[in-house]
Amino acid sequence: MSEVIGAAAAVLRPNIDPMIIAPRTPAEKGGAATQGAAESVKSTDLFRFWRFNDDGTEVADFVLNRPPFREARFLIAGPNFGCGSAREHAVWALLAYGIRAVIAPSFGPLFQSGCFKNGIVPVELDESETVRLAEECAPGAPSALLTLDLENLLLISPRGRKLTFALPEFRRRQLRDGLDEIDTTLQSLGEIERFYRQASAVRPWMYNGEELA
Amino acid sequence: MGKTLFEKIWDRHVVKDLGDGFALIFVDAQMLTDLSSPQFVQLKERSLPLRFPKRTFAVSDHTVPTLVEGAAKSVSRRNSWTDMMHDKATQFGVTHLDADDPDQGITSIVAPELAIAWPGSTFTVLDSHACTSGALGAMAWASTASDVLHTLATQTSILKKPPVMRISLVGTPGTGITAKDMMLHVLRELSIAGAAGYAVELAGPVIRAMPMEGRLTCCNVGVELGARVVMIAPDSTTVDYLNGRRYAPSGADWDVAVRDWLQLASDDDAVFDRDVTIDVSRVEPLITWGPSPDFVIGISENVPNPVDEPDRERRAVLEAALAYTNLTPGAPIAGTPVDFVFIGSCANNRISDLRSAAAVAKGRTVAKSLDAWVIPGSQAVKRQAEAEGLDVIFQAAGFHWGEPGCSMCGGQGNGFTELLGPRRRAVSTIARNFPNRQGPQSITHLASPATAAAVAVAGHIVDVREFAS
Repeated sequence: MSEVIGAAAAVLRPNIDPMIIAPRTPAEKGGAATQGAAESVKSTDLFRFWRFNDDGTEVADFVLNRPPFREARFLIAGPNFGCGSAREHAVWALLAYGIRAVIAPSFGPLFQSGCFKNGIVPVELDESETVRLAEECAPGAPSALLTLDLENLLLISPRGRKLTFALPEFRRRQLRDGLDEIDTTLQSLGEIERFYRQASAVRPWMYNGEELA
Repeated sequence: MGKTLFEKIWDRHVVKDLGDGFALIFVDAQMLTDLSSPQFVQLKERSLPLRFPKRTFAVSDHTVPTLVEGAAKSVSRRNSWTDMMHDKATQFGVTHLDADDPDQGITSIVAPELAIAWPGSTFTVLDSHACTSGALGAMAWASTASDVLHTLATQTSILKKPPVMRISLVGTPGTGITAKDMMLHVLRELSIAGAAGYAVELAGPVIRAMPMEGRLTCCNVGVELGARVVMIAPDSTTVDYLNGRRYAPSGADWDVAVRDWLQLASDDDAVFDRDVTIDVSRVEPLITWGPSPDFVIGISENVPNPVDEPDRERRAVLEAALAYTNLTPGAPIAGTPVDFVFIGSCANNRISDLRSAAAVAKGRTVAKSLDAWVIPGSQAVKRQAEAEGLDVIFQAAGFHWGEPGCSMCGGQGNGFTELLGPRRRAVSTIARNFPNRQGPQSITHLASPATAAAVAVAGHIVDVREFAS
């Protein structure tokens, strides 16, 4: 993935936590022992309580229910987005919906690391800039497409403004090349084993001579 | 320049620098819940070995039924999730404290109880309150499902080195003011983003004087500040607590370990990226009024009135919060009728918490208008409480006495049947009260176990100090 182009839906309320992003579903119910991983989350789980009424009909004025945003690839969010819970379903629900990048002034740390692991770009932008970007991408804005350039770490706003953002280089490469994080770490297995040998020599009481597989 | 407690532990565990402040960190122990079997399925699908079975533990806490009493107590609490986890644990050689194990309990209660987390160790749990074990002087952080798989396969975690913030608690807390009240006060002062992204060290004379169980509560609730880890330097309280516990070092190793642990405290000349001092002298029993752990007021105060708030955005936040919790703007919080009292969770439900709640409940009666449940944090806590007769005190007063597990903190127990109904109001001893936390549209007020017990007796939100015996 070198580029993301699409509509950007704005949900700017601060401190939105994973239970709002992806409320618990009957699929997570203990009874059926479903495999509670990414594939267990559906696109309709995203912001379920805000998108749908109790009878299942859509909440008409919620942003993701408006025509240009049904295909949104970006979410523009408020400060501390994804704060709190370790629930990765929040990331999976965004992924299932088709969101490939979330732009916010700050993120909950677990949510942010979950984004990297699942191929969603978490873009940190200062608050005034996220608000301005949300205005440019609002309903009715002409050709309100947003572009993210992962090669040059650039966002190009609907009005053509270029905004730079930062990502750790190893995260940028991982996202760009679609690298699996575990495969990447396993390339360092020799270093992990060396570390463990040294650590257990320095503090043998801590590891009791137990072996790494 | 000296090092902080956090830096000492971090530096000991860096396998590799990944650049931009990230590092590959060695994980000394990982703890999983009954929700973790899918990660073992993935491990097998990818033909990866479990890297360190002896340092991988699982406990059935999220899905086991807890609101059970009487004859229901003899029915097995195992279910498809716990059975699946048990199957994987057996396959991979992982210690699993299943629903019927005498050491079963909530991860963050069991980890300190069995000394699975140690001072100076790195410890991760598939649970956002993992940092509870930071009270032992461990670097303990929450993992997500993907993190779990990464650690199972590599015994490492990719972490960004956080800046370090010291929060020193000073002053003389009033009689009956608990660790929970103090941390609610800290949340009120600093907000839920107050330590966002930081490694927090709780320090100061109030923490030093605090028993281990209070420290565990502090580190548990501390994550609500947005902190990545929360920790307390090991001292004699820590050493006394760990001595003789199952996975603690023993024999000659014990003395070596203790010497090592007592050198972990932040050096006098260590520099913190942020250093905050909070006085807890005038804290009264606290409670939340809105659906966020930092919407906190004193029990004698009035809930905020949005008309007094000049800032438009802030006013809208207050209005939305009050609409959610269905409270009258500007009215006293005391006197608010309550439907449910929940004394449970890894924030509060160690033996000292149950003792303080039982002291309020003793010889009194739960109001007819509400249900009140006490869910011990672990089987060990339950055994101790029953040995002391606390279960008899609670039940005589009309509290229900349940079985250990995460229960209604997160509304996930027993396939979601353990939920607070929509618009039902609970006073709970848990750490988190975002919208829908205890069930869709449920209303949760966070408070200490003593306050929760007092509310159960009164039937409405009340100052526990009125119940001083």
